[in-house]
Amino acid sequence: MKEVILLLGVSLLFIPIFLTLILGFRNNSLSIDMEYVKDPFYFGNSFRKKISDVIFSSTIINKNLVKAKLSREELIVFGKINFINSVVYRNCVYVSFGENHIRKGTYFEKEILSTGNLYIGEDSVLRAVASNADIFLGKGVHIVRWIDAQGSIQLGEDCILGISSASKKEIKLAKGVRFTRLFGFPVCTNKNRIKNPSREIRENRYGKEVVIHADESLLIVGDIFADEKIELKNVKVIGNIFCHGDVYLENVEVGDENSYFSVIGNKVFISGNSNVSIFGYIQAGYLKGFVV
Amino acid sequence: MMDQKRLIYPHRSYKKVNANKYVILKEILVLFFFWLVFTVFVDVFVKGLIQISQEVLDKVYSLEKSSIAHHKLLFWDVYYIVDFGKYPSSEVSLILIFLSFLGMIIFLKFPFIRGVSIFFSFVCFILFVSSLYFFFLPEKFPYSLASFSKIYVDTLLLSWINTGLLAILSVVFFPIKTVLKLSFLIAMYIVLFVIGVVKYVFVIITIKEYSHLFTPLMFFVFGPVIDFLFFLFLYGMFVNKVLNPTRKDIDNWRWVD
Amino acid sequence: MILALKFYMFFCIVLFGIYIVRHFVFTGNRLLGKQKISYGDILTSELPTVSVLVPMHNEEKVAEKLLNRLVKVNYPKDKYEIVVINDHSTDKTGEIIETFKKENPEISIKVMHRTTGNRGKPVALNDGLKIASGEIVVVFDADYLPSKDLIRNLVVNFKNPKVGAVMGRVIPVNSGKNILTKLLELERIGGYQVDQQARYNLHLIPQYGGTVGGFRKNLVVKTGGFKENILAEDTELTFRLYVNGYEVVYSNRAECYEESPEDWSVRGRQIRRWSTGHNQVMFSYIFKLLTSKHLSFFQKVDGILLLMVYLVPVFLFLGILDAVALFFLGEANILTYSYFWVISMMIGTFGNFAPFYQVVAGAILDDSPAKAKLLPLLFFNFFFNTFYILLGFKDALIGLVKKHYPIWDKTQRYGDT
Repeated sequence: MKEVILLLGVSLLFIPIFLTLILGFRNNSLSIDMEYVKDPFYFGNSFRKKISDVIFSSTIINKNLVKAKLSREELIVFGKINFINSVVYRNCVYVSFGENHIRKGTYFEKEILSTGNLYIGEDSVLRAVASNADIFLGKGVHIVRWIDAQGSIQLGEDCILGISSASKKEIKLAKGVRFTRLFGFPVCTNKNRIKNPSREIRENRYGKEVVIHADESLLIVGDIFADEKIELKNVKVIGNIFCHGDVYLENVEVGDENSYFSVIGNKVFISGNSNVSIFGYIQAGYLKGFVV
Repeated sequence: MMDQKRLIYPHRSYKKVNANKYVILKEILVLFFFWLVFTVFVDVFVKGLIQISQEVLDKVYSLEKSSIAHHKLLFWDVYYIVDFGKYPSSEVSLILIFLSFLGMIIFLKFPFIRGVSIFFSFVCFILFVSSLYFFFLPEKFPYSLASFSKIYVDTLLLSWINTGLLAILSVVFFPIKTVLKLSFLIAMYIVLFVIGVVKYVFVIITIKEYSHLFTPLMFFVFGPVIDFLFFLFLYGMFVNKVLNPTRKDIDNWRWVD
Repeated sequence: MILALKFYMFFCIVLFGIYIVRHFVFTGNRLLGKQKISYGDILTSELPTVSVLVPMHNEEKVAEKLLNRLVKVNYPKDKYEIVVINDHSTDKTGEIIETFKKENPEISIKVMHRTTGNRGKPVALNDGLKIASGEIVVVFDADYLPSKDLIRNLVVNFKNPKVGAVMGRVIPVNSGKNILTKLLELERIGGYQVDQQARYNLHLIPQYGGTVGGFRKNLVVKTGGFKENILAEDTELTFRLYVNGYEVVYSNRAECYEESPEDWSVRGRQIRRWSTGHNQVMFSYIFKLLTSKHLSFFQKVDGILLLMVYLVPVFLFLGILDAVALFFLGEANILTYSYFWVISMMIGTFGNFAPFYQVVAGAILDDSPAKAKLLPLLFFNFFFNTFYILLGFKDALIGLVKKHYPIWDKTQRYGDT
């Protein structure tokens, strides 16, 4: 009995060591995607690639419907989705050719790829949308994850754009839109550009708050960084705008056709009544970008 | 409205726990309340541990029964076993001086899992100092088994309280249910109690059988260090078991903002 | 005497208490707090010119792998150059670099063969800065494997004029090799995913780590280049920038693989070098930090705690001796109340540069809670680290008195990953 206790006592020191050595040894290194590149078109491109990769390995169910393995086994509908009653196939991925119209109030649980222009009716809810041409969103459309267009994207009022929205051309904003990440050439409220600025400043700006309300339009060649707030009015910026707090833009142009920049803030407020046009990237916290 | 996942799973760099301050505050209050109740009644658990230990010791030493004493530690009434230890002969001390010195050097140079081997070198160092002490100044050793037993139980009591506090702070931020966190605390205390009995009986038998020379070793190595080691082990297992299934659950995470 | 010993114990408890609270704040902030947006998120066509400096001393096992990765990065070729400094190599490193340069004419690769003068990273970097033409300099040790977007992610941070240096995240590539590499991975996870990010969030002092990071060339050159007798040129630069009114930022998404030491003695020497270097920096900067007008109160507090990171294990070691002395002097009663705290705090906080709860928080964020199973071994690593930190502290003290420091001890490479 005594010996057993002594043995047990001494082994108290060794039990955690041995158990750790036995149980804790098998785990792998963290993996890094060595080819990762920050790309606003990542979601759209990777979805297109997945569709083209599986197109010949899918199981044909009928002339319009196939089963294929995307991230998991999915039903893919090939063909027109014009005015489809989404209740029928709402949990299918759609690959639709030519111009397409989605009815008002339609709800799609899965991704849609349209080869032509895509018109999305008011108050529809879609998980993710890609188009090889233009996309037109009606009022109150909700994109849950991402939207990607080779052409332009025209938004209706009060649209909600999930994580990422990217266009190779223009993203036209409307009042009441909420967003997280936008990338376009440009992302704008309307097509009016700021007239030739009367004054020019060539320097980087940094401060706790940067507030510039120019009476006449002003050109700033340089980056603007702030910790808490950036407020710009009547300014053209050839540089990036970055704030750990909130960004307010009214009559602001960022970048031009030859050089793109970023506007990044925790919340980004864009005045929908003014001319705001950003060549490049806008990023806010999740759905903390607002067109007001 | 939608049964599909709201968000795209964020990369580890952009991820944080999805919890609001009030939920965390509520959890802290619940866990601290449990801890507070345990702390107030910790002397009851210690008494239980002492009684079980005494029963075990009485079985080991059926001819000489140990007795129990108690004293006030802050507002707790702490019980401990009173017994008599042995003093080492100078020959034993001398042998241990050489052995522990040799052990110190060997473990310091040991090429495998160096953290563990340097720790054992530290163990030998404690033994070395103790052997030297008992070789040169055996009559000056300031503790009897009874007084050490009192100190040891006091330490054990404080160790339980502190480990509980540490455990709360270590789990409170996790995206799991409060009941799981509470279960971890309870499981940890059960394990610490069982280990406590083994440790305490082991300490008393060692000092009774192999002399007071090992008293420092019991205090520095077989005291709170063991509790902490087991706490780490249990904590690691708990994190692995409980957080593994939840890691892909997107609702636990949110994009940084 | 007893009173002094007790007072020292009390001092340790207060000091370690401060550290343990500091790291709990970091952990809570990283898991639940507001995270600062990374400058690495900026997308722009207007990037500055960059020189990637790679000092190499006998790097034949890893040189080609790194160079291969560096030519594949996503950065405009006309704004990008690689500067390789072959620092007294006696193996085939020089030949490998020259062959690589010939085979990749589309990239600007400058090669400097150093055969005279002192050897060591700070000296090599100073020479490299003389031929580097980029506005921004990014440094890689030879055993690192940068991902494609890493250079862009690091360099874009310098768009902010306040930023003097940037640090990316280091991830061990060979963590599966043995127990040591697994433990080092845990340290890295706690140190980067939680500690560095929290310090960045809280506007404290994230640390430039000497590799997988960059700095403004003119700023470093203007302030005298790298100090050649300091073994932690990265820590020195961090504090130099802060006392001059610049910031170091941490970019968590700028991930890079490293090869961590697979051998305990190699790791021991590495820690000893870091400890010497870090303590050298502490001796030179603690007063400058306190009197600097550019730092906030909290930055000063964090700066002091950061400077003392390699001094605290020395205090801890003395604390253990103190505890043993008090025990034999019959004062175990005071220890009864304090010793557990000392032990748990020192191990909890200083076991391995990142406390266990911070490591676990990082492992959870990294989607690998299974790594937490190794925590008990991390406990023992404290003794290993303390041993070599003490040796490094001794070197720094000798250096301070005799003005003579050990030469740069290069970390051994394995090249098998």
